[in-house]
Amino acid sequence: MSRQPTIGSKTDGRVSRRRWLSALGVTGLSALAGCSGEEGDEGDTDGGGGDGGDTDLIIGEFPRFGVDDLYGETVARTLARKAFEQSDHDYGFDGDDMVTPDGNQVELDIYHSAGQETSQLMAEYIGQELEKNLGIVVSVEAIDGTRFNNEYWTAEPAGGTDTVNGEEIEWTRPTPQNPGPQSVASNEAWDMSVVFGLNTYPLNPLTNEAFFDGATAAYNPVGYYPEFDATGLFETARQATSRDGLREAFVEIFENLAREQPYIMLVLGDDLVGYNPELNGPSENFSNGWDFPAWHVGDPTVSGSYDTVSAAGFSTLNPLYNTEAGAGTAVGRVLDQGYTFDDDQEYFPLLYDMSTENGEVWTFDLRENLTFSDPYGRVTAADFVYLVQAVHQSDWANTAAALSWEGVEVERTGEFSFQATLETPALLWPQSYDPLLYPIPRALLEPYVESEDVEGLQQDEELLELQFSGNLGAFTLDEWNRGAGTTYTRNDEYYLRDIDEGPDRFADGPFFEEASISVVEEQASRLGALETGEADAAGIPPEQFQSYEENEDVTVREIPTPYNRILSVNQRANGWQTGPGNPFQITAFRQALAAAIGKKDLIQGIYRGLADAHFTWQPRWSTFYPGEE
Amino acid sequence: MGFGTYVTARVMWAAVVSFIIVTITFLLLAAAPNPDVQRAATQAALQGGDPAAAAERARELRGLNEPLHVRYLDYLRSVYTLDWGWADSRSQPVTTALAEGLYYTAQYSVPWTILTILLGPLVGVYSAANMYSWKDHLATGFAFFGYAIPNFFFGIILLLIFGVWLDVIPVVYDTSVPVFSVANAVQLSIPVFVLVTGSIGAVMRVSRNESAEFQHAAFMKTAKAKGVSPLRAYAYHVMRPTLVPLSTTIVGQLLALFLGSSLLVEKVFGIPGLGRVTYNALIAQDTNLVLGATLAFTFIAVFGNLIEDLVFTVLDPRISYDDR
Repeated sequence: MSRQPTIGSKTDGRVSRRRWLSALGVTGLSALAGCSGEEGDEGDTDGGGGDGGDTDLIIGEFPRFGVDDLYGETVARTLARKAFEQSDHDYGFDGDDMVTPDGNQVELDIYHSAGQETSQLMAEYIGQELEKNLGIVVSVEAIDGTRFNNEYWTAEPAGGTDTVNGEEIEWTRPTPQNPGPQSVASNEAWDMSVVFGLNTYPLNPLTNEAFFDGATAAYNPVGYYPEFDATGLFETARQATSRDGLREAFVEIFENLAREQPYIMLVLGDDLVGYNPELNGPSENFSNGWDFPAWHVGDPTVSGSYDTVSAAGFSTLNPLYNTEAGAGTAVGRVLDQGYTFDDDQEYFPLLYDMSTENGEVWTFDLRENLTFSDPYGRVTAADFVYLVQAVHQSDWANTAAALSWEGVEVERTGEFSFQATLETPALLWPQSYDPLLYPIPRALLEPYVESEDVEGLQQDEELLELQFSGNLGAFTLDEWNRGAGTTYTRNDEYYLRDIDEGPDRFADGPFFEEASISVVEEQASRLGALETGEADAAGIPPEQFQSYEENEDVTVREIPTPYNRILSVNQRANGWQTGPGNPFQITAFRQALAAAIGKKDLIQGIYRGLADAHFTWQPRWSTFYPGEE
Repeated sequence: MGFGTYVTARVMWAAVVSFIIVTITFLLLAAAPNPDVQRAATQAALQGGDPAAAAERARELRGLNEPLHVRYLDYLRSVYTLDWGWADSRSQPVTTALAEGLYYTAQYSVPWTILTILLGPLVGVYSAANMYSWKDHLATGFAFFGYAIPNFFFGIILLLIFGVWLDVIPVVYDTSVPVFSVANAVQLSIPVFVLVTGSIGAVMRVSRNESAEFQHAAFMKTAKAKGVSPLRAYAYHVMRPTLVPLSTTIVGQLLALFLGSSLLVEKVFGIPGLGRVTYNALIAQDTNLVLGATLAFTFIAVFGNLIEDLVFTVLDPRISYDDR
């Protein structure tokens, strides 16, 4: 098809852009796709799709793409036309079809995780929606997650410079996940993917700077260039000395992300966990499990065994080197960490309380009734300070927590207190989980520190078998069978029984004689164990929610998660293989995609109602979620 | 060549074969980039350090800067002294990991192998003796069913029926029960049944066809004419020549099955055996453990072939030592 630049349509474009501006207000100025583009001599497209309807489109400060007014064929095509106006290439619509400058229908591929039903269904649904609402032909392809990560998602860090938002930016520290400007691409070309979802970090949204702190952020595989001052806003958030200041900065960031759709945000999934119906304690809360010592079956008396199943074995139980969530749970039965968050996502002290005036100097106050097993004696501030200084901050040990303590100055201030001074103040430091420490006896570490023996430290049997755990956990570890899982016995000396805070039930907890975590790799077997009562808890796949909801032997809880499902669109040089240029780089085009994919049907049809619509990079229950207008 | 000389020569040949395989493995490993070195370089780059220096340090730490022959001798010494290194994906020595896996695998594979070797030829010869009767069709149907249905799927179905609906076997495999106990026999009954049905088909079919050849052979007519009982006729005169070609099939197939089917069955039934150890090591890119498992299976295969050749000569005296 041909494109005929006409003065009339050009003017229309301007009018609509001005209307947008007035609707957006000041903060939206830089975010608006239309205003950053040059006023070239591009025209509107003709063709069967018509050229009307776009002048009324208003995208608010916090647009919710994919629902209500911002969902459907009309709005998606209007936004796509906006994008084509800014494109250097003659894309447009021919009848219902979106066509390339050569007149061929636009064809894109979308990858999903091989063998994962939900992922596949979602890819197919997106394909249907894009075909229906934007006239794009989508071919759905399965791929192994590891292969996708290595060949498509990451690239050799190359660095380089590019103009972002009118400024010359240099990639000084390229990473495999952000190897350089949009011109730097992975080995294999790809258009769209639902293989990976990401964390939205609702407790400490500052962590999201890894994704969105400018185009050079550490993790930016899709090559997104923010059109708002992301770097400046994250800096404001970092410097904030009050909760209000913090919230203001974050809300602005998240409003901008909602508008720019760096990844097309689709849904935030719930975790479905099936429990023994007689079990009291599990809650449908992000912090579910924080008060585990108060959980009980029937009457709150000590009896029975709390048995769970795990899909994978643990590669290590050494608290210094473990990075796996599953193994973290296995360690957690035996060893508490410094603190946790309660049902209201508020700080709850376990081993130590943390306080600060301005977010820069933090004081840690230890409980005084903590002891290791013999011969290590009481847990004191010296143990923690030594752990941080001699191990986490050393250049040889390379522990899992090493990065968390980089640049933090730690100093002992008393037998049961120490303080940490941060390089830059952080009001949400505990929420970043960085100051979360396991108690490890100093005397156990000393020989390895003296000889700088990292292998010895990794392979130390006392650490691997958690033999020093004293009264520091709800249970003691009986056995770790590498292939089969862990078994535990109740710890009668558990320090949590003698604290003042928290539920009264802590005084008698935990309410189980024994506990176990069995490694059962086959999902059908895990579910079978849940049904027969051999397991007290097990994850449930969404497609089986209905049948377990009706099953008397199982109580299903929907636990909200911060993990999202996103449509990643490749804004790098090897994205958009169907024609010249890459419309994914244009914000209005990503908005068009977001508007073309209906979230309600997605949630009902594929997630069976067990997910929340995802509009910006925070779940709705986050305190930093942009307010309702 | 006498029997003793033959056995000695054959054993030495097995040692040479294992040595060649071990050497090839070393050369492949030496040629492949070391993931640890790459990881160290990537990490250094991420933390703003010098990737080249970090890689060099990592190579030094692992002795990779030594000349090839020094590393080769070191490697040979480690392999043959069973110093196989540390399995990162399980936080234990490789030999311990393999031994633990073998401990659980043996508990079902020994009964599985014995049952297959006993029942397979028996059913096969029985089928041949009653060829094209309904009994033959039943046995053949059974064999083909077991052969055709994927083990893991059959396993899940049986687990659902006996574990979840009837609740007569535990769904979660319990490693704490003693090896020789009723509880262990009960929890292993279904996995063993699944595996036997899966492997018996091929053995049964081969022995059926092989023995069909022999039951009309001249020596059978002679035996029958001399009044040998049918049991002795089949068990001795037919079974023995049948077993010669069968023994090649059995050893080869069982070795192949060992890793393949046992992984899926171990996964379904949650048995922490060798198949899962190996598979998870591959997934976790645990080089030491993968290498250890490779060597272990190599040695088992070499040993299996050795046994097979020796059994040949015992079963069939006509096979001469001189040609081999």
